[in-house]
Amino acid sequence: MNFLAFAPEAMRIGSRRVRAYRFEDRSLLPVSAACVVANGIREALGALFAATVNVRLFEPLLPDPSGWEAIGRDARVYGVRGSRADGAIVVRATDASRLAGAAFGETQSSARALSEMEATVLERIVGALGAQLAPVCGTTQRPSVIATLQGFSTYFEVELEAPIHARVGIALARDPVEQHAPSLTLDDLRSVEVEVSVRLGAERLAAGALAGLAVGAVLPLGRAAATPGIAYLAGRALARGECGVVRDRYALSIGTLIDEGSGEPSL
Amino acid sequence: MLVSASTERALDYIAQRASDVQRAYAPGAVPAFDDVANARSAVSKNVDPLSIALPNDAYLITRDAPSDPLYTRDGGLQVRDGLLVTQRGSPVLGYASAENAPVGDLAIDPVDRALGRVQNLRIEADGTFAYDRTVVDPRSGTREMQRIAVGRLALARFPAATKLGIVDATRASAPAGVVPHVGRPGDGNFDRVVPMRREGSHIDIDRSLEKLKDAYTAFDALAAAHKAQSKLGKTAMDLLK
Repeated sequence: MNFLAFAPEAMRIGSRRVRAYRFEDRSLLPVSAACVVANGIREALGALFAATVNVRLFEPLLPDPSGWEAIGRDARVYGVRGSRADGAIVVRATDASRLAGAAFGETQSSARALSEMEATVLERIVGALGAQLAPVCGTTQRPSVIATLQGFSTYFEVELEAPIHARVGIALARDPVEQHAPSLTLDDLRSVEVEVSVRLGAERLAAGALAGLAVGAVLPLGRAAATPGIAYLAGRALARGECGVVRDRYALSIGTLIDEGSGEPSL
Repeated sequence: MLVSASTERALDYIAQRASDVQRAYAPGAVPAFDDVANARSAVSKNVDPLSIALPNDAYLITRDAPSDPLYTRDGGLQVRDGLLVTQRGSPVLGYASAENAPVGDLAIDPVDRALGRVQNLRIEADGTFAYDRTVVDPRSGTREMQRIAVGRLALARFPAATKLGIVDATRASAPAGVVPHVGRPGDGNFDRVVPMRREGSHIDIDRSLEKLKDAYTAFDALAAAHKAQSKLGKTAMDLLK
């Protein structure tokens, strides 16, 4: 879906720096779903490394072809078959070295060829991560190496903070489709209780009479037996009518309904 | 007709003086001759976070692959294809964030760049080339800005009275056999850089023009001497005949 956004890089126009607007194709995968995956990865790696692993999440997005090319460059890609959508775990060469190195207590490993043992360790780590894709892929099978990221649409990354200092990418073959929920109808609101207030009609009073008001004094409102009143809901005038008493309870007999924008003052 | 060695030297001298005049407005330009150097150049403020003013006597290190490093005092930098480069597009060298990293290119993470995560690119006072990216704490769901340091600029300083070779308007090369001292801004050997500033030329245009005129005058005098010498020789030959 296209969203209006500002370009991340500012450009110079004279002495000003401005950011151009543009329409961006954004993923509809909820950040909360990606957070569940990230938290699962945190738990899984914490259990594997027997250490506290803090993670940060890069929000889901829809990379363009150059983005996928950058993601897949020098990366190991493990496909994960899911019941709802297929996924992939992307581990760049540097991150593969760091993940495998972290299992042996190393920190800050740079990109290098992995030994057979390190490769096995990495596959075990990726295997543990594959199970964490269930919230976005459904029931998953064990990850297996795939050659390319072609056909994937959505991508987000989980950054593993100290001591691992690595990133794990998650690619999804399908971005969620926007689902329009049916809107509320009046029937859905019939059982909701609201507070309606009624303002009694106004009466003009001499200032002297007002000054003479005291406890026990009576202030008459209107001259007729029925007093005009206005019903309000949440401060907005709804109806005009006459106030009176019906079966020992105060009541407002609705005379006219007030349209929105009729100029009736709000409470 | 062969050009005498003294004429050749005089022409070279004029060319170098003319080069100083031509570069008198190039940012960070350093003169070929000390007698036209400004003690302090004008430093202008700007809003460019990739623009810096360097400490005195310090140079940025750039390279034109595959040649040797070149040096510049022009702190107007930019990013091209993820690399920190000079206005002419030459990569600016520095120390990557990893410990004990050798001096090399300063490159933004290619995935961050390709996915549009790079925000607020800047050079900080300690020479750190940094940017921000938005991350989410998955436990709370809150977004936060994360500072990423790509690396720190490398600065070079030459021994006093070293005469650098002028390469173009803003870049110079080290003389053969001279190795500069290299460090980081604010490391104790170099002062910090000043962000959002750009240094002007170190060349005094008025004195450069005077010296260029002097060079032409000297050349004219040399030409007159050659002419007189030639005339004298001809007269001597005529007398002999």
